[in-house]
Amino acid sequence: MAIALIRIDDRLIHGQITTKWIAHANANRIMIASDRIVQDKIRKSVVELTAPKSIKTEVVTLAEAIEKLTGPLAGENCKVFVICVSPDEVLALKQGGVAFNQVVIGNMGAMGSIEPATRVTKSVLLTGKDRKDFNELLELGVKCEIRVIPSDRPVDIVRLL
Amino acid sequence: MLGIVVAAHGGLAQGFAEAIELIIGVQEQMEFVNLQPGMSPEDLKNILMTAVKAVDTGDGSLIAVDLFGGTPCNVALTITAEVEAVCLTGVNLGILLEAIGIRDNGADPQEIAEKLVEVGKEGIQQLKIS
Repeated sequence: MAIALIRIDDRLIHGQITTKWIAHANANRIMIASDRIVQDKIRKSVVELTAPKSIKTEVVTLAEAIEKLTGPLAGENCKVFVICVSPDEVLALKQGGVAFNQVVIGNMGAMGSIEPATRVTKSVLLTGKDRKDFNELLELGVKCEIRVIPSDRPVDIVRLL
Repeated sequence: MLGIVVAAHGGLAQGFAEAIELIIGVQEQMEFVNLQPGMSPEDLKNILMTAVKAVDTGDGSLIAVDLFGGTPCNVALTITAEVEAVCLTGVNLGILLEAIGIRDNGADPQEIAEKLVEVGKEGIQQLKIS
């Protein structure tokens, strides 16, 4: 499977993503890679009900995602749009050997976090842990940019940590 | 009768409220929720749940949202898992007027929603006098 794009967005699949990013990334598959979502029956159901009908969507654990994204290619014309809900999940993919060097950040609302979070842009709130995780990603050579829709001017996260 | 909540982006739900009032006056057991800039999904869920409970008098409720897969839709879906409610997406004015007309016919929320999908589609036509 080729990765079309990796995105961090705790709203998962919603209006902006389905209408613009999939076309922009030329993806023909959606993979939600998140242990949290696999375990959250309600959010998992929301994804399953609202995924675009024209495109195959799966919700998998990080371990499964790593296996699928590093294993033998599941068909050359398979271009996957990967969505994680937080930087620690993207970090786990990178540390698990998945090959990518940039991630697009959409909405991060510090959902379900007990740690205090500060707002860095209109769509992004960061906790101390998020900052730590982004720093690790940057050290591993992954460029992290905030862009809600493809036509937005990207904001490099390094300036906001 | 079935309670109705309209939830949409920006001032769209309020727009529907004004249009309905213009045509048939203010309706009971009906609330309108606007997703404002800066509102988190959690904020929206609290507001929406309050509205759903306010309109439900025992026959369940219909949460009519503007966009399939948008935040009002996704939040409404989480509410349908918790209370007797059905989510209807892509709502238009014709659907809302029909919903007001048929919501006390004794049918359950799913049956009413099915009928509304039909009515909604029938209202979408291309017309021209040439």
